[in-house]
Amino acid sequence: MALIELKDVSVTKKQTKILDMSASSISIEAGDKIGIIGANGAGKTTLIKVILNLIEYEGDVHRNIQAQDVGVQMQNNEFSDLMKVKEIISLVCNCSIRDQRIQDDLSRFQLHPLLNKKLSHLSGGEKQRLTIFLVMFNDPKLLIFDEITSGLDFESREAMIQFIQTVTNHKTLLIVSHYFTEIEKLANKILMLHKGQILAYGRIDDLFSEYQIYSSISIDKEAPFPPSDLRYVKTTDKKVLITKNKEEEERLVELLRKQMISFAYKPKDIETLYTFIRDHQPKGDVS
Amino acid sequence: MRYVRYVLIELKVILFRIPIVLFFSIVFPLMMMVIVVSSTGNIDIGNGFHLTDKYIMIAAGIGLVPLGLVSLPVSIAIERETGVMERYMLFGINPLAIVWSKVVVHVLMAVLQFSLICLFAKLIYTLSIPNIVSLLSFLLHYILAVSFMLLFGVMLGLVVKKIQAVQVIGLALMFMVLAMSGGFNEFHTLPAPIQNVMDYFPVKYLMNDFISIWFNTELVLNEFIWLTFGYLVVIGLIIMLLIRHTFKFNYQFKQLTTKEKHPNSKSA
Repeated sequence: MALIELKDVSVTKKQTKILDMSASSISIEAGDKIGIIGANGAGKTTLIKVILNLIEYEGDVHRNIQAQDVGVQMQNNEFSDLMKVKEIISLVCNCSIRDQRIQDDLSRFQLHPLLNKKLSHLSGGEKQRLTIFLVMFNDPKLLIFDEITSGLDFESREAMIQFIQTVTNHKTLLIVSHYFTEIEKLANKILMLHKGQILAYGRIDDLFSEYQIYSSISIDKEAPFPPSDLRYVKTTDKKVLITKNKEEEERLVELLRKQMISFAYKPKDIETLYTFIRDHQPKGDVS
Repeated sequence: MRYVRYVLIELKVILFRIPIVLFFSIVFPLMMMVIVVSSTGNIDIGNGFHLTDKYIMIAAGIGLVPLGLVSLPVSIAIERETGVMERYMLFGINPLAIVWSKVVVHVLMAVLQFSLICLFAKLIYTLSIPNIVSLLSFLLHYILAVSFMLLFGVMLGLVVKKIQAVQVIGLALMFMVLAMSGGFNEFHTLPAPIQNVMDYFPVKYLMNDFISIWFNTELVLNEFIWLTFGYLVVIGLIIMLLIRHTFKFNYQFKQLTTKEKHPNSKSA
């Protein structure tokens, strides 16, 4: 049985549909690790709020889960700044800081050195690590992480992703992020949203196969490359050519070398997949 | 147990980490007592009582009003505006219980500050302690006045969400109430219309009429009790309505299971 099912869901705010999944259905199964991607205003956080029943919506959402089985971490996790780390831990975990269950996890989350610090003195990464600890303490079945690495520097982000990988192994995970690399490392499915509508939803490998994306080769937008039947997407300064298979890739590379056009090669990745689908897919039908 | 923990943590935070609350609710009433009693002398006011016996009532009001009109509503507003309440809810902590825990913390603060005033007045001056019956009666009346002031604070913190607005409104009300209840000058010297208006405000009784209980001349202040109970009922009802609106997110999140959905949502 699916953990969460959404059917024909839409959200209207000030007479504008900010989420429109009409004629679409999404099923979230136990064990899924779903990356939710899309530009600002795509409806990612709105979708999370629908799942959590925190916003008015139309349509059907079936949740085979209780509130206490859901662990949620947002980009901004506000606590009372005057509290100390050990105080918020004992409050949320509802047991003494000396409790063995807490002590075991404190080491795993590297929180021991922070215990006597006030929450206002924690860095962004430390605060997120503390929040993950608190979210994970009651062993929720479903984890929802909404842009939790936004605002972190590169190293902190990398450390955070590695950390999440280790602690979410056997969980169902919904992760919203602007960073495609993050999704690649953490998710096995992706849900693409664009202007409130679903572009695509499915297992990452299936989507690569469905859209026949093998690799991408970027050239300068103004490069004298002759018209061809190759699929491509345009970014602000580049033209990204998309190959279907190894043979097409080799032919293209040979051609570019012959014409002495510089290029950058990338194996298939979510950014290319997202950009391609966004620019080519008729919206809505993913059921 | 969780909310007992919260009360202890919050009490520690208010007492040791927010100097302005500590100053206004604990230090300021003591300071005012020292200034007033030192400037006029601890004069005999008849029947063996002294100015200190009278002034502890005013000091109690000076300590209680900032707790109810500034500290409590600001504390609620901060956690509402910054999203702390939502974060608590997502951790499975009931934000309503957090609000009531804050009220308990402020009741404890009020009792602590009055105890300190009495202790200080007894040690430094010559405070008379009433007989046990009068003392108990006084404490019950005091708790009623505290309940009114703190429920008013909860209402303010739920009506106004913006921290700065709560601070400004709370401080303005605080100085107004103190000035009009005899906090800065003798109540009977205030203009008659103000005295008449303040007859409908329970804190005026704390600062001016509770003294008759302390002096063993009256045991029950009927007018104060009925007035305050009336206010508690009305404010209680308003708070119930406000809570339903303010913490809508909490009820929604709890109704997460498949049989329930957002109250205003429509099925396809």
